[in-house]
Amino acid sequence: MGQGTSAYDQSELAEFQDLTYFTKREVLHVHKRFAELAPEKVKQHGRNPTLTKEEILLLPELAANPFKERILEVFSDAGDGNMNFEQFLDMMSQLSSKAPLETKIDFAFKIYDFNEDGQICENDLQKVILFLVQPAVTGATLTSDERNQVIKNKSCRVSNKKEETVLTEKEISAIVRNVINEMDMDDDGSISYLDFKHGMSKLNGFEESFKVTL
Amino acid sequence: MDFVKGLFDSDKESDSGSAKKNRQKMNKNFDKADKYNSKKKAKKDEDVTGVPRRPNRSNKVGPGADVPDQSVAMNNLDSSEDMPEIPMRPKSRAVILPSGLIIGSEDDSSVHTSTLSSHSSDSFNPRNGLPGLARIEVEDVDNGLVEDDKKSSTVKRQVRTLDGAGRRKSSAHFGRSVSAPAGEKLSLAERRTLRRAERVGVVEKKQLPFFTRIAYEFTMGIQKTTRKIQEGFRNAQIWGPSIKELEGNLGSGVSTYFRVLRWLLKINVISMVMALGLIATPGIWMNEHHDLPDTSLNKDDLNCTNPNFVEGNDTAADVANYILQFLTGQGWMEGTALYLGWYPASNITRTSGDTEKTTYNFPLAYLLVGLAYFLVALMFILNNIARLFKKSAAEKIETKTYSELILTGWDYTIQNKKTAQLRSTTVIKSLKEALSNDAQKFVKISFKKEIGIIVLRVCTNCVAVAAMIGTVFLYYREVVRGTSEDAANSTNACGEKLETADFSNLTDIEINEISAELITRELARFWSSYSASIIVSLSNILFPIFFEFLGQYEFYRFQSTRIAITMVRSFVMKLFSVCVFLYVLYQATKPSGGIMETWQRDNNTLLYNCWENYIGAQLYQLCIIDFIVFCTSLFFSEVLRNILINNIKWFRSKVEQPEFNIPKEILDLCYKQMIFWSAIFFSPLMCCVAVIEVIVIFYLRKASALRNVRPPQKVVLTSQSSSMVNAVFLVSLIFVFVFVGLVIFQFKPSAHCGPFRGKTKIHEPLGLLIENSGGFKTYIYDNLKMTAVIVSIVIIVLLIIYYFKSLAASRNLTIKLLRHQIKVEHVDKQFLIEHIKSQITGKPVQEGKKDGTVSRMSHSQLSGELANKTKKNMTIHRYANPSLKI
Repeated sequence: MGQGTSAYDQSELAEFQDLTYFTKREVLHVHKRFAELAPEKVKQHGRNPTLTKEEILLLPELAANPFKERILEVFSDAGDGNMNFEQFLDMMSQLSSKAPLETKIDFAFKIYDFNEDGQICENDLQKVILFLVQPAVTGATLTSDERNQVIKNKSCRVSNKKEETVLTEKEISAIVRNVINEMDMDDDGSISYLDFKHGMSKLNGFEESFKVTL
Repeated sequence: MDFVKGLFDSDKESDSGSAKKNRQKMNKNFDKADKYNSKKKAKKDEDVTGVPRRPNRSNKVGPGADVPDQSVAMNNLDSSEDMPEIPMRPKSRAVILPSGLIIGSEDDSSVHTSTLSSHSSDSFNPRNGLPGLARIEVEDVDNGLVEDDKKSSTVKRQVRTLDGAGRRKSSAHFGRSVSAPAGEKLSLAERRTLRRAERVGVVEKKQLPFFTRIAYEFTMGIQKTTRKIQEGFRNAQIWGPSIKELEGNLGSGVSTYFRVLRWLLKINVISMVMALGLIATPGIWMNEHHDLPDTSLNKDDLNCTNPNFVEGNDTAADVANYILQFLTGQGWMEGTALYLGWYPASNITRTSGDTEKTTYNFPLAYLLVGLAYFLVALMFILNNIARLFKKSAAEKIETKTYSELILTGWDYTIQNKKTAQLRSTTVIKSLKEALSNDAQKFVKISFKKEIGIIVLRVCTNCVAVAAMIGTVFLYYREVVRGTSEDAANSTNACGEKLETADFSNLTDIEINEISAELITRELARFWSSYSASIIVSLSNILFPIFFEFLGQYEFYRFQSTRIAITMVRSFVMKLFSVCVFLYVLYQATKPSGGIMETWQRDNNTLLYNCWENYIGAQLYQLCIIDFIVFCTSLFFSEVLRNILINNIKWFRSKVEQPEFNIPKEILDLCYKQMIFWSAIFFSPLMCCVAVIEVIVIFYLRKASALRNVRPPQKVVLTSQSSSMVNAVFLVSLIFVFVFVGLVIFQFKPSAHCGPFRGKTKIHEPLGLLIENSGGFKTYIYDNLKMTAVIVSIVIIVLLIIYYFKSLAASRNLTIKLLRHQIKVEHVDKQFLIEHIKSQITGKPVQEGKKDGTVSRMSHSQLSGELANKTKKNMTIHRYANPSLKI
């Protein structure tokens, strides 16, 4: 097996092309970007090394995203965020603009389903909001420790910020209630996958904003 | 503001959309082949369209997002592999309920229910399955009853692979999720194994009958080629990286603006190709070979609009002249291919023997291409509108403000930390606004206050209208004055020609004096001829600011209303200004009673030899001036402002960084495009100007946006706004078309210039063509001219629209009902799960509940079927409408 970055031959590329939403050229591009993240490892372990979460997070396309760690966790096999090239390719393919809406909705559902119980419940939504407002609160994205802190305290109030950029706990719970009201079709108090799928396909802007192009 | 969310990106999206369809087709083909193979292999096998087998790894994500609410329990109970310790009925795993309902369970994680009598597996394709009660298949029941021996399961697995791999790749959208829950994803490596297995299947296609194989290979070949072509197009997408960069820095909202630009570029490039290929090239060729008598053109005829163009010896004056004339589009410019007047009126002919045969009827070509520009633009716009309309007519769009903000609030395209921070702040602000809007809805405003606000709004509207009318009047006057001044000068123009020609006999000093005088005169003239365009352009910049200012004092309850009103006012203003400009041109040049005509009659001289050139030159001026104003305002409002903010503290505290106002900018683009459209008939090469201008604007805007601008403060994602943009372009196009149409059908072409010289009306070539081509067409043409026909066509169109509207309304009612049924169904589902639980654990179900379900069952199946249909509809929609982006 391979050495060097473009170690994939045509038939392998064709295979990738069939297995992902990418064209051959795009697969190579993704591989190049992947190899750039940890050139050392690629040298050592050939073309399909496993990179740690931290290494993948070096990607500028993900850097500003508050959900970045969550994305990697959802997509890695072991759930720890470490992934090899094929997993990475798979992830990028599903995040690409060519992935169909339904795939994206699946993906988004898993990202937002923090406790992984197959439903987006109030707690999950609260977390989504906290993640969402986090860049405004901290000015940048947090390390995972800090994030846990934020989630634990359920507050995104940071002392040096103006009042208007802060959501109070009361507001957050009002928002959560509203979201569930809007999305929950079967009236069970949480957003099931079907609710989610139905609701998301009606929302504007999801398909455009839920994509990462390498 | 995510304004045109989605529209103008059509190419890419529809490309990928059709690619999806394509792949799907391929998979269907695979399926066919597979079915064939699998029949041979295992007769007892389950349906080919089965779900990719769920890998047995300890999955991190909750397994049952399919029926996620309750199916966790369900899945675990069902799949003996997953949880072997649960005591289940060992052999037959289908549960038969008293009501005749059978719940078959496979080791797939999905649940299959069926009534044996009512459905055949064919009529119930699991792909179209519906959220809700899972799919119903007779075969499955057999299957569930059949003992699961290992051999058959391997075959099964193989068969599934084919389909599974293909389907996944094909984008999994169909009902896959019904049977394959969200949590169920195969990793790439697994899919590869599946695909390799699939390859084995493909080799075996040799076993297919000859004709089937040929047909199969043929369709596959076609699909592969189309796919390749589509991919080629997608790769050739211009400005992709630029737009990505902008998206990353400013969010997807701003990138919409640039997508609109790209869309306009496409329209203009197509127009340019038509103009260059069908008009300019033959025109130039014919003018080169002007051995034909009527192509020979008297240059003086064209130059008459500029009285002061003198070919002196003085270079300074020359250069100044040249530049000024380049900006005004008059003088030497009028003798060029830029304007209609330059083009020959003859046909390209070929003499073979004695007969002369027309091979290229130039005037006709010119006329048809002139109309084709509009057709192209109309197609582009209608394409967008149709796509949007399909979506909005299908279902009334509910506003889900909060879900939109929370669940789609994060823009994954953002790469820049500062933008991320801004985005986040924006989301918070919008959330707060939504909350306060909600609170506002319950706030009662006192009667007195309300009256006050109404009076205030009436006043502001009056002010707005007055300001508009004032401006319109101002430049109406300017144009009229400009025209009459031209008239005054034009005695110099055409009359003085002989005098100016004497320049060569003068001494150098005299020439210098005269040329200095000429330059000042030229400057004065520059103002007089430009004043109208300058007023129009300035008002375009100032009015939106004024409207915004006005909007702040009108106490609108919701900010969105305020923005919408400001937008509408700005658009009306822009439309007005162009329309008045065109109207004045029309007034000035119209054949009977026009300003020019009156003047000509009074003075008994010809003012303009070529009024077509006059219109062209005016629009060219407007376009150039508008571009200059655009650059200046960009420089002052963005570049300079940002420099000052960055370097001067005092400034920083007073002025904020400029914000990218997407709707305003898009309106501006619309205005520019409107000028191009109106100019294009009178000066074919304007499309080259348009293409250049669009490209320049793209890069200027991009450079400025990346450095100086912060992303918009508000997230407004409404499809209404995107259809509004389309409507804006459509309305502009129609207005321009009316103007051009009037000119074509009413004006008498100039006697000495242009391809239509010597004809009574511009549309004559078309009429001639139709008259020559036979009775029936003539009949149509004659009738088309009648007003009654046009009115009745309009009425028919309105009726059709009404029909579709009411269809949509009735569909909405159905959807409402179906929605209610989904809720009912959910209750059913819960009951079923409980029932199964009780079967397994041996505890009886409470009697009352059971009865309830049996009676509800038929209802729920009905609703299942209904919902299935809607689901199908919805999928079709998504296909027809693959790009909710642009």
